[in-house]
Amino acid sequence: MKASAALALLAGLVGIVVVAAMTPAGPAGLFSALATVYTRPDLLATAVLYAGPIAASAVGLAVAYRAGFLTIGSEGQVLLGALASMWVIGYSGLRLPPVLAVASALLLALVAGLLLGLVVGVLRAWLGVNETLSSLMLNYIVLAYANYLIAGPWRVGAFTETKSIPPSCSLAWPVVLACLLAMAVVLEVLVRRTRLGLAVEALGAAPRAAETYSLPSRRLYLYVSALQGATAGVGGALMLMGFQRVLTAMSVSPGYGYMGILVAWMALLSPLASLLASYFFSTLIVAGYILQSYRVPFNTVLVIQSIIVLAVLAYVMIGRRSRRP
Amino acid sequence: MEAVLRAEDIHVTYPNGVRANVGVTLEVRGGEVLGLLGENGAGKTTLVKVLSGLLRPDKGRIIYMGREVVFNTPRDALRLGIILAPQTPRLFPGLTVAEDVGLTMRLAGRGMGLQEVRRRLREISREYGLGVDPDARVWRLSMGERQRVNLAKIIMLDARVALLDEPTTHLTPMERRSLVQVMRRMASEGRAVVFITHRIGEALEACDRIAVMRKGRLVGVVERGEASREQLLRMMFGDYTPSKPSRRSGGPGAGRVLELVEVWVRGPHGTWAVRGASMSVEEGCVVGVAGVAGNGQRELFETVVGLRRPVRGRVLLMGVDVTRAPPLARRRMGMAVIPEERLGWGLVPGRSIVFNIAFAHAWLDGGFMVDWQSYRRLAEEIVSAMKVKARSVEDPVDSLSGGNMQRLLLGRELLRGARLVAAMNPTAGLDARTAEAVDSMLVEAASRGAGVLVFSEDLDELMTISDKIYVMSRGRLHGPFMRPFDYKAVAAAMTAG
Repeated sequence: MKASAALALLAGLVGIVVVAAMTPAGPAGLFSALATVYTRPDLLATAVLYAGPIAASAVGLAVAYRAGFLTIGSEGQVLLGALASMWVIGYSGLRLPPVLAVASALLLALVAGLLLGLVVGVLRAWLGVNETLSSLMLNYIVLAYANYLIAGPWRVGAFTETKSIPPSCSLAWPVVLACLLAMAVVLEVLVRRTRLGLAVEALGAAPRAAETYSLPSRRLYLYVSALQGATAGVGGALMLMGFQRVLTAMSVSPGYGYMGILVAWMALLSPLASLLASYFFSTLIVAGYILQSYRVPFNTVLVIQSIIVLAVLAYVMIGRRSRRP
Repeated sequence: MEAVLRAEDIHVTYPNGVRANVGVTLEVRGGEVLGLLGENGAGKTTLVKVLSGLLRPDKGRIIYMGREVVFNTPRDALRLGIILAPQTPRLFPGLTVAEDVGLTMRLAGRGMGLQEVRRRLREISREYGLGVDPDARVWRLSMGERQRVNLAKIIMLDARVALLDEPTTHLTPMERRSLVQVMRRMASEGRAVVFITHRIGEALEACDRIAVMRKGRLVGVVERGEASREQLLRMMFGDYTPSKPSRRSGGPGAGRVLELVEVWVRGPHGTWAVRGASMSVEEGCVVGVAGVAGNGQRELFETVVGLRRPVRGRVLLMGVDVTRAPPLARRRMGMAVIPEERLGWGLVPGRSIVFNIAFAHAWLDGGFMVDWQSYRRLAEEIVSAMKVKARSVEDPVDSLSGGNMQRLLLGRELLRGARLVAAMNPTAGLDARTAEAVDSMLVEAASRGAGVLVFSEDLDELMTISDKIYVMSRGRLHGPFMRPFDYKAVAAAMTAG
């Protein structure tokens, strides 16, 4: 059975080569672009910035998925987090010194994401609404609201775009990395060492047992939905202040929140491993930008990311299921 | 008689190192009921999993009608007419009985229209006395009813080899007798029936030959005429001789641990599942609730535990009204729960033994961090006190046999000193020795002062351990019947409207 597990990885590799071969750059182009990213310090630093929203989404999702709470709301929460930080910095009328502006942007993004996550959690805990569907719907609502703000009240100049945040409010890669590390470490400890983590795990693996042995499942859904939303919200702030700087109708839905879903599963729901996986994904994104100069469509990156996740999951599952008592 | 199916030198070792089958060679003949006898963990289930394509052996061959076959999936076996009815029936909860059976027919390459399935199911049900309703939803059926659906399936498929894994687990004594008749009849039609059991009496009653397994090996095969109870016992257990659980004094009249007052509970479909049940469980007492599955026991149990809220009536724990209190509050007051299903309800599958001890305690113990060290010590204590056969407390619970899972579960729930123990079918599917051990642990909990409430379909068991027995029938509680029990009166109440 080991052989078929390895076969899954091989199939993934073949898939990537085939996809790359269909682009003007070819497989060689893809791998050389990746090689470029991994050998240039400036690109490696850029990759940290791009990893921000992906990793922030993934660490929270990892916890939620452990509880069997299959939300996909990270996309909307990232966006709402970005809107919240943009408001603090550009539209609130508060003239805060840069450090304070950044801090309050992060905080407000966190709160906004948390509240949005909580909506999904409340719907699930009290009304039994499927969290995947409700979070998907909320994603659309946030997207529509963002488009409204960008095209309407927040619009400046001839294009549908917002103000740009001042350079003093941009985040350098060490700051982004510190934020991500802090969240991942806290959540990893939460999952492995705390009572809440233990309960979350039990709830996800055996809801009936969790209920019988008196774990407060409703409250647990609220906790994980809030946590998950909060980290994704922070991801939105990291996106805006890390590299996006301006919100345009084009940039409001780049899919970082959805990538977080892929990353969380690929990291087997470990917050710390999610960091590494996000970074790998984000180097692929940077490589994708390089490849765009070869007229390779950027979506190729998403296809490749998805193939990688499928291959890794297949590898793990086959390894687990090969023999069971 | 000719061998239909032959297992040759089958070896199976699980990833955790347990050698479940060690060089097993066994032949199944057409037209016979072959008993496969052994205690839990003897390797019976593993063997039939191999024979039905659910598990691939590390070594060994399967010969079917004189030809070697390799099963990649259960479907390969199904197409040859080899079907396994697992101990816990695996049917699709959302389908109707006819849809589920129709699906299996299709997988076996013998698809037919749904109307045809319903018609034939009705016929078979009538002919064999199975009482299967083709239009019932699977999730509403009790385990016993699901087991009968499996039997109907075997007959519908015209299976050549029927592998029945502990089919009597969820059956009442009467259903058991009719199962024996069905098995005999299937054999007389030329089929081979493999009947797994750990009850010697059943094996002697139903089987033409009895194969005994112990610790993964086939100890021997005896013909029905030559087999004696003592000989089979020796083969099963080596030189072990089982004893009766000791009875203690004390009993009704002491303080009430649990009291139900006129409790009405709705079932899954909004119909009344429990109709005005009143009962009490006293300190130091074992109270049994007997009855055929599906008469409201599950709903009553869930009401006691706090998983279901009664529409009318009151639940009192140590004299405190807990009718609206969640399980957490009840556990704080000293309630221990042994649920109907071990994996998924009592234990968390895929997690370690330590995790399974910790998760049930963590919310009661409080604190922000989990003290894994102390739970590890507690797990080790439980494992050694309850004689759980486990290599390490870090092993997943799934790697334990059913009996060892139940020991672990009992240890977790009882060693803390419970005041009320609520147990649902605690010995279902266990071998004689483990079942006895479980029963004596429950009795022991009572002698330490706990009130023990046991739901069981096994009337003999309840009569051995209980101080008083209620009978549940169509949502109503009859009794209490007190010691010494009048078997006829209790049995009559079970079938009363």
